[in-house]
Amino acid sequence: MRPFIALAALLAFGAIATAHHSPVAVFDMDKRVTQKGTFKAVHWTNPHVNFDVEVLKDGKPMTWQFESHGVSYFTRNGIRLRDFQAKIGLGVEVLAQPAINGNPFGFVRVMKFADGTEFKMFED
Amino acid sequence: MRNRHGLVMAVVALALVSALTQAAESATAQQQVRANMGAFRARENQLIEAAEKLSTPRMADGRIDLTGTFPTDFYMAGTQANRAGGNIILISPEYGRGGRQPMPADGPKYKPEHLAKVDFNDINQPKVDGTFHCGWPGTPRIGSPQQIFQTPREVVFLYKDYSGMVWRVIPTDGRKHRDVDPTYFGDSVGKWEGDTLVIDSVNFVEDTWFGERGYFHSDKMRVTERITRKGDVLYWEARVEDPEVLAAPYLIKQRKFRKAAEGTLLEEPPRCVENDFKDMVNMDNHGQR
Repeated sequence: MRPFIALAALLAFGAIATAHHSPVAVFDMDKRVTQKGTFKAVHWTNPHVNFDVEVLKDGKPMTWQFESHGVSYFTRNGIRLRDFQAKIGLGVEVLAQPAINGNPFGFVRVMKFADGTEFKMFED
Repeated sequence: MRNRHGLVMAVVALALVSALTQAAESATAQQQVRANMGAFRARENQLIEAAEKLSTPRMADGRIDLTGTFPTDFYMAGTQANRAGGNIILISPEYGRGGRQPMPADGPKYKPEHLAKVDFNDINQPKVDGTFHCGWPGTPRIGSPQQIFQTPREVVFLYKDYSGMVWRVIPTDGRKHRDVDPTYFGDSVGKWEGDTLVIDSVNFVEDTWFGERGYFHSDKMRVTERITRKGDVLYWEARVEDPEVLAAPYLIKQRKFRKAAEGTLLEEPPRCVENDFKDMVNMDNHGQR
């Protein structure tokens, strides 16, 4: 018995899956990383939407990229590109599962924006 | 010293309670997501049953009319969405922990000399499957059309695919297969068998798979799709024959899709950009299609 739901089980009625790889292949499912910075960009692409966050490391700016699900996950739930574009330039704190290879890359769980709103994909 | 020990124990106990509470809240959220998925499926089944009872439209020539939009991108059906206060709350089901799943018992039957290649493909899917890198899935892996236009001579299939926009124009007036170069979606001709449109497709490139588990084919593949409609429900199934590699024809079981509201147009899919392969530390993958 697998402890969590396999993504394939979520697809209803023979629908096209916008699934890609298993997060296990890229991200450490048991670790969490928190990064604080500025929300710089949203990449509204398949198979995954990605967000760029600029953080300061040793006083120098660097970009962390945070991955999410595919676009239809958002649009099926009424979320549009403009909803994230409206956050560009805001301060943000991101909780994510980090890439196993140590690159500045994570699978987003929660993003808290400086305007008091949040984007939340999982309960933490 | 005893007080200090007690304090430490109290802090540990508090931390434990906090962790357990968080775990319980998380479990509750996941239970809710599962309940949402169940409710979604039950509701969708009811809507399909009701849509099947509607009258089935017909063309002036008496043929069943397949025209309509039949969305297939029901993704993450269990997501709990909440936008209150400017938040974007979309609680997703947690992912599985990977691991290769057993090959399905009702999968295609390959000739013995090709089994090792299917196995290799399945294990190495992110490396060798073109769709992982935004490539066209081809016929029949793309599934059913999401929008159909029908004339007395042709049907036009539109697909809003993960890889981009795809169209197929299928003659239904007796035209034969063309002498053209091989393609991802094949050369297709259709004919009506009563209320079922039967589409025969041949002349494929060998780059695609007809199923996610490494189901490769040769350029001798022949695909027969059967499409019909009852009320506002579209039925699609496909049969794959390939005498070069398969020991027997393989049937992709019938799928049902409910028609969207009249006038619903397909939205252009976003650009497909594969960004993750370089960061993968293993070839673990889950179902695509």
